[in-house]
Amino acid sequence: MPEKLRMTTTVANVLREFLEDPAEHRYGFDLMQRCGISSGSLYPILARLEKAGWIAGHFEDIDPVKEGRRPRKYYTLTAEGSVAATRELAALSARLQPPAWGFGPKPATGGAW
Amino acid sequence: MNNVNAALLAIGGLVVLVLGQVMISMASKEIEGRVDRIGYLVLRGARRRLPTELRKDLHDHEWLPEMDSIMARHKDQPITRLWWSLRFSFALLLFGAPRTARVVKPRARFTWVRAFFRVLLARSPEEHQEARPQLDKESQVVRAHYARFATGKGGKVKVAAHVRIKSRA
Repeated sequence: MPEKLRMTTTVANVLREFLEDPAEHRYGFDLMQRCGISSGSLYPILARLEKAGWIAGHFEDIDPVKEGRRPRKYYTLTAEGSVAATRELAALSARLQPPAWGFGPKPATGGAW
Repeated sequence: MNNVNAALLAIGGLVVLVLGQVMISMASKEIEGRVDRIGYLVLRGARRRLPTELRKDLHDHEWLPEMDSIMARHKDQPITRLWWSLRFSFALLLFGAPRTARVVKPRARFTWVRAFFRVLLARSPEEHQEARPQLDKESQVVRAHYARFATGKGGKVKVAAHVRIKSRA
C-alpha cells in the first residue's frame, strides 16, 4: 500500500510525466528537461515518490567499460503508484476547477450596479 | 635573389600560420577540458552537503552518472554542455542536496527532550532503566555544548567521541 503524499503542482507535473507512459524508463536529467524544473527540485520529489512506493528506482544494465560511462539510475511507476497518481491528479484537477456560478460566468460590473 | 627571399618569406609565413593555428586549437582544447571540470567540481561540493552515509547512493550512483550523460549528450556543443552541467550541479549544491537528504534520512530532532520525557513517563522500572542511559548520553552532549558556549574555548567537560557521533546520527 503506497504512502500518502503531499501533492503540489510540481509533484503533479512529475507524476503526469510518469503517467504519459508508465512502462517507460525515466531518468533524472530527462525528467528535468521535460517537466521544466531544476535538479534541486526534482531529486527531492523523486526521493519522496520512491520512499512512498509510487516509483521504483533501478540501475541501467550496461557495461561501463564498453559504454564509457557509469550506469544511470532510472525510475518507473509502480502499479500502486500508477493507481494512486491517477487518483491524486484527478482530485487535484477537481480542486483547481474554477467555481461554477449559477448563471454562467460572473459578469464584470466594474463596481457599478 | 629577391625572388628567393620572397619565396622563403612566404614559406616562413605559412609555417608560422600553421603553427599558430595548431597552438590555438591546443589551447582551446585545454581550456575546454578545464571548463568541463567546473560542473564536476560544483557537484563535488553538493556531495559534501550530504550526510556521509548518503553520499554513495545519491552522488556516486545517481548524480555523477547523470552528469556523465549530460557531458556525453552535448559532446560537440561546449557552451550547451557547460550551461547544463552548471545548471544541474548548482541547483543540487544550493538546495537539492540538503532537501533530498532530509527526505531520505530525516534527522532526529529534540532527542534530548524526548529522552527526558521517556524517563519521566516510564511506567515501570524496566522502562526507566531502558531510557536512562540514552538520557545520560544526551545530557553529556548538552553539558559539553553549554561548557563550550560558556567558556568560549571548548569547555572542560569531556564527551567521548562515540557519544557525540551517536547523538549526531
